[in-house]
Amino acid sequence: MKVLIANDAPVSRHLLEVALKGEGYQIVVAEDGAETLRILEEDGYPRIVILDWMMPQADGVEICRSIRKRAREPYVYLILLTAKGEQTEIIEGLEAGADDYMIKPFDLRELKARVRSGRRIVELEEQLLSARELLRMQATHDSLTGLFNRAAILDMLQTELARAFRERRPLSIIATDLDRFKNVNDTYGHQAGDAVLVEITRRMQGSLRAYDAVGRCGGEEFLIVSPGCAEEDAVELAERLRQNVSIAPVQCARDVIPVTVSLGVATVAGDIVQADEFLRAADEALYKAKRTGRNRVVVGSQVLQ
Amino acid sequence: MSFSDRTVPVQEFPENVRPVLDCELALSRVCGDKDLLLELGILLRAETAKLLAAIRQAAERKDFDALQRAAHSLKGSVATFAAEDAFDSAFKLERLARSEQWVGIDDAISALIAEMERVVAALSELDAECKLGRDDVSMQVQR
Repeated sequence: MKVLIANDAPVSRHLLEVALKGEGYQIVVAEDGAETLRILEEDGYPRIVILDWMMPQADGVEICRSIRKRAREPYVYLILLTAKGEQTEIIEGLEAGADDYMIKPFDLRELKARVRSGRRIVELEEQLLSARELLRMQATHDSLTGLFNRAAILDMLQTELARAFRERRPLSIIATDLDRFKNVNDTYGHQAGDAVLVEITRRMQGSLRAYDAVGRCGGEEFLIVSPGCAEEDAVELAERLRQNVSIAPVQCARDVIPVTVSLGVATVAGDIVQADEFLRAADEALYKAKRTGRNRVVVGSQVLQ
Repeated sequence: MSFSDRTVPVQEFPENVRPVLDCELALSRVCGDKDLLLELGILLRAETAKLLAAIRQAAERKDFDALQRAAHSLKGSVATFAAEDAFDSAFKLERLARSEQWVGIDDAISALIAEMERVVAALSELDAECKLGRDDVSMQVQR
């Protein structure tokens, strides 16, 4: 774990550096307030800071206030280590956002114990953030394919519709449905059906641009949201998806399962459109693709232009 | 007698006179790491020269803020060595500078310089004795 020692006095700095290196911490050093703030802006910034109060350019209390004001995650545990020992100063330091306060001269054993307390807090926060991230993933992603789930992709659609209107840019969606998927489940079993879904997900993802989003809306239904994509480009994208999905049968154990998809494209060109209306246009195009023989792309965006 | 045991008995000091450094206390604060304490002594000697120069310049410019900062830094550094008189002198100068009162500041600077000369001499003596491998020197350096 990285510890930042922010101190302009060589004696204190060396003492802290030697003591904490011996405890296995990775030490980062700053000799003034500006350097301290710069280090705390970098990616992978130290999570524990031992901060002198009086430093050139920005003092320890200003730094505490600045760090707490920005409220970034993950949390930075701040220990003020200073020769200022009056009660009003201790209160001021803690009120500014310090988590702990030590007065010079200090005992190294006590300092090490206090840094270990900070480390416990930092590690506890890491566990909580990981758990929150896992819950966020579970709430927004489909567990089988790892794609966005229905709620998440529809949220994204709302956001992109607002952005498209604001920036007067086109937005396309592609409603996609795996052809005759019920037959796959009935003939090869649900395990094979799941394997087909995972494989076509992989094939679709390989066909998309970095800024396209794809979600699984239901059993074998998918929705692709493609920002900045005009109708002509959306049709080209849908055709590429169709070809890449059906390029080869899916091999599942000893079964070889042919797969195709039908796709319905809808585009808005920076107009005000309700998400429901937009989705209905793509769905209608998709159903037309199904009705007219499957394994094809149909464009329904004229309805909206 | 080991490094950490070396303490001049209290009765050897005249009443009300404190040692320049209390190395036994300083050593206990660094978990008995003699080499670390000597390294810190070398740093303190170098830092003292810079900070006393900064104090003199700040006094000439009548820069209370710089004076307060330099005195505060020196106070924090000598505290590690339990140099109580030097600590008190630095603290007195820091308080005078913070209150922006020039009355008494020249005397406070002179007193601090005198104390720091003693501290530096004591650190040099300690360093030399340790280099000579003497382990029976006093860890409380008398004035």
